[in-house]
Amino acid sequence: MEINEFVKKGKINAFNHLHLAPFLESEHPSLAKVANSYNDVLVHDYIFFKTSCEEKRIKDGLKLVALPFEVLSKKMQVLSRSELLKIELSILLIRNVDTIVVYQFDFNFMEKELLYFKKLFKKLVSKYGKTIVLLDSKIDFMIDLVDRIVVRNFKNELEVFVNPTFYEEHLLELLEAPKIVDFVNYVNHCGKKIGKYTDIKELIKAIYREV
Amino acid sequence: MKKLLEIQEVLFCSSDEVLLHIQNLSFFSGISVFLSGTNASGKTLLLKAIAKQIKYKGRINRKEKVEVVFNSPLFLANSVEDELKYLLLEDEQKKFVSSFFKEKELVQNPNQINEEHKKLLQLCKAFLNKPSIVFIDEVFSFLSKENQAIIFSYAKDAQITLVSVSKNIEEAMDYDYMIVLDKGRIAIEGKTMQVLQEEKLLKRLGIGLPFYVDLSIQLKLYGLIDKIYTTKKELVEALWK
Repeated sequence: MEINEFVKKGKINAFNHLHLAPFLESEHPSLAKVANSYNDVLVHDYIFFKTSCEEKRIKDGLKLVALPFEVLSKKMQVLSRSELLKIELSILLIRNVDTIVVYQFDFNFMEKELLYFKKLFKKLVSKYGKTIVLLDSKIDFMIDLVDRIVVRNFKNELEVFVNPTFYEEHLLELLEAPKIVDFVNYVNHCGKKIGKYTDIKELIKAIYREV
Repeated sequence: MKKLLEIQEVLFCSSDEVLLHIQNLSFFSGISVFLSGTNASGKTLLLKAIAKQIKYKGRINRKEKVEVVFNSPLFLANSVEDELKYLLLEDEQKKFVSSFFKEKELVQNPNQINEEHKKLLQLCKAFLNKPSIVFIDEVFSFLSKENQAIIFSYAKDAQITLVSVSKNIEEAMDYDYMIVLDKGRIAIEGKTMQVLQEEKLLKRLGIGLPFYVDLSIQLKLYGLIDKIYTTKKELVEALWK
């Protein structure tokens, strides 16, 4: 499958089908797997082993993924999954790869961290010309982030949506809507015209006006 | 209610940092539990302690058979079928496996199947061992709704108590009891709906709330509704009654 033809360089691309992971990972470095077999290894040694870079660049990498430098002296065994993922991301940034495949990213982080990573991904694309590929079964995280989303349609073909709004009817036919979109569409379907929102505060104001 | 597992004064430290300190925690038959918490709050460490993968101080009393399903699977057999071979004894179990794996998929190398099927294979292995309680670490997020429903249904029929460990707060609604960890300690525990109403604490911890609970709480503050609703239908009916 020429799946990589669907990856637009210098953009944030999203794929809604997890089984495409092996095809994407065969071409690009991926964050799908975290290091589980380096239990007694220090974080510093693990990153150095993977990058062969000097201390300063390692620290710059950690800073980019919002990890404190103290993590360098910890053993891999005691790190949480989110910390391990951040370390894998920092390694890709230290290695300065062009394309980063991110797999089921949002399940591993809290809301505040996700906001940070949304900003980071946007910066990596706009400032450094990187290509980001998100591979996720849910699209909530993709709202206000992705430039393109690739979805498998009813004919089993891959269909590209450029600058998706997440209120596009055809897109919502093909994948599960984010909770807020699903609720707004239901309200509108019930005959209460409250408009379209992706922010809960704006939605509450609209409900207040309508009720 | 039968006590299935009891944790007393469990302590795990790295250098001089306390990473896990659970004073007293019990799991009971028939009470499903959603275990959540911030990053590095000790969720997976607790499971590692239960699975005897780390050396800790304190006592974990396993009164019944316990299985722990971790997020990163490693399979040693050459096929899905071989991975399950020694476990498939009864027709009901074979039916359970066939709801996820077609016959041709059983011969595939388990390390090369897609991520959802890897998780399903792990769950099959755990469930077919006939445990009383299964701890599941961030696995449900990878499963389709249909497959989640099959797992829940099988667990109910086989009287297996589920403990799901996840950051995906939307999952919480499917469980009877909720425990939130923060910095290796229990920050709050109780019946799921009671815990979810501790909006300030959960938001301060960065966990957030399920969408409909969050929306209900805020609409309640504006006096637009008088209780918390968990489905869109109920909420819309209450708003525009």
